[in-house]
Amino acid sequence: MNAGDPPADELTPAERRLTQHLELLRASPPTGAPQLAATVIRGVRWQRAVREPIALVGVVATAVFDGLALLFGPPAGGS
Amino acid sequence: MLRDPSLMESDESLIERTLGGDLAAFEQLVERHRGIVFRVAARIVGPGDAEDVSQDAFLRAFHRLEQYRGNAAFRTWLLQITQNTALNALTRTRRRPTEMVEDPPEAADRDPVRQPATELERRERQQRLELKLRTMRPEYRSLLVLRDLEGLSYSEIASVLDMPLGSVKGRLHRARDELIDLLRNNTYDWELPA
Repeated sequence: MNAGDPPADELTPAERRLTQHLELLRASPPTGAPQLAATVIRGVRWQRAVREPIALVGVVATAVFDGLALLFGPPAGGS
Repeated sequence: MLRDPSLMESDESLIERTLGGDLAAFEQLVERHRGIVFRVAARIVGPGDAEDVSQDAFLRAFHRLEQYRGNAAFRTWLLQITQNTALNALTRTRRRPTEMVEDPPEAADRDPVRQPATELERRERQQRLELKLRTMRPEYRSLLVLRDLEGLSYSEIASVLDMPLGSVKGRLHRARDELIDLLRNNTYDWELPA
């Protein structure tokens, strides 16, 4: 129970019963694979490696498109 | 071995180092919070998908780290991402939670020497309880997991779920009622001594 929370006696009898049942789950929490941190870091590295080239391709494509629009598009301010 | 918490580098310091490009600092953050992230994910989506959801949550946290303002504790912010990732995973797979729960072991698999009857019964009750928990509607399940299994304060839950404090208390009451009803449907479980 945390500070500022209502005291346990505000629980209804059924809720108190439920709390007793849930103790069974609290006593046996699921545990994840110990290598999770290493897996996450591998994912971060891989995503970084992929993101940067993709972003670069995007920048180049935008520049090419802008250049072509400048060369072949309607003159600016023309009607 | 437990380390003196006062000697541990703060989350804020690790975040700063991560933003400076130090991946080892982020690895420490993952190591520090992987337990609660996995437990919350497992209780929401089931043990089969919890590993993927946990990884996904940490990856999202990494890419959004610049958006972390420090208004709430890093754990709160991370749990918010975890619970959103878990709920998205549920929506995406559209799987019924009951499909993710393994059946209790058959009588033939039981080893009376290694697993006394009381231990077997305890495990089977635990599995049935997990099944009931994952039968609840996801938003109620999150609330119950955060409060009654992980022991978060009401204000922290309000931050994680992005809802007013009063709503947390009201919904928690309804969430408990839902699980009580589910357990009462199986009178045997409800009446058993906890």
